[in-house]
Amino acid sequence: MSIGIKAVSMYQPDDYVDNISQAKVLDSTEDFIINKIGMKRLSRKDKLDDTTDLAKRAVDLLSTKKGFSMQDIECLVLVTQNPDSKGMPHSSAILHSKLALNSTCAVFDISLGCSGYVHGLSIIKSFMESNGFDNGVLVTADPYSKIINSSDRDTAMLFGDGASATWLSSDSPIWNIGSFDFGIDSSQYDALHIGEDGYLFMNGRTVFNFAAMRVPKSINNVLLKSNLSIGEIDLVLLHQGSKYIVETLAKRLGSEEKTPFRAGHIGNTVSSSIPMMLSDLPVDAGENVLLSGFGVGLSWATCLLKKRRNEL
Amino acid sequence: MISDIDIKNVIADSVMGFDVSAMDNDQDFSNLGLDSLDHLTILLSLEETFEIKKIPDEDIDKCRSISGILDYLSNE
Repeated sequence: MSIGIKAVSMYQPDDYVDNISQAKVLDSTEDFIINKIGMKRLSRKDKLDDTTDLAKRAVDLLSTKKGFSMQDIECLVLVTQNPDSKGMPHSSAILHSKLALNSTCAVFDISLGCSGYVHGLSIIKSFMESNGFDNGVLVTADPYSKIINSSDRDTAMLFGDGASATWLSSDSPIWNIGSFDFGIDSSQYDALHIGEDGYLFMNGRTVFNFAAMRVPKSINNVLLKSNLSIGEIDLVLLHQGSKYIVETLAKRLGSEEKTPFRAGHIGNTVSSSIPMMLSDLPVDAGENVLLSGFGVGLSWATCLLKKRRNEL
Repeated sequence: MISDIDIKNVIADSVMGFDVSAMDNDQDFSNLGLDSLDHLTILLSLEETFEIKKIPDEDIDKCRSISGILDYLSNE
């Protein structure tokens, strides 16, 4: 039985930064925030919370709102590049403890940024199928507020905190997963990195050019593998880097009417931005949904989700 | 040889709703209401359309007007 997506939950902290007020301090404008960045609010975790606290709340929501049973989990995979403490032990081990999961549940971290969710879907699906697992959870939690310099206008107006949990199962999943396309332009790996000062550095131009040039090709590769045209896709869910990059890519793909920007109330939540949109999808969202994540590395990952016929 | 008309056409294609008809070649883009993201898009579109080698980050401030871009390209 192939593994697919059964349910997705998203945790968004209550606290936030008012990005329009922040823009004035950072010598930007309300017009730029609304029309280009697109994010009026940037979610912020409580200062006492660590990465696995956000992750736990996302998994708890999967349990309380989507009927997910903690005792059924056979594997838990956490995507983050901002782990608890300094990354040892792996944060998924800490999360496993906080969730009080069975000792037979396999757990590990994946160190990826904005392409992490789509990479993670492929990894956990393959891991579950090769080990005969029926239920697993893919968690994303990468609170960039831990590494943002609030006076750096290249990064401070973009990122928000959040976490997601995706239930993967062999039992009546809603979405089948595949085909995939992956890649990296490692010649530009330093365009997004943590500097010696401990803060995130971003070369916005390099990241923008990378996304504009690479992502449409990656999406076309998945369309070719799937024998589909962009016209047969119902939704294109792109990593929510900013309103401007989403609109730029949609224009290049010719998919403006089906490529939403939905991060205006939360910010760029890195690997959580795609599952955030999946958690909100109505039942009649369509049959074919493309996901594409891109960023740190500079890496990309694209895949097709196909609604299961027996669920229609 | 890339002309000012070519650059105006690229700007018209890259920046939705922007009227290039009254653009002065010497005006700085920021004085015409074009922001930093518009600027990046214009440079990328120029590079792609005319297969120009990527303009280095340290030179992009030279390319903030049509005249500036033409000067930069003539020196390359």
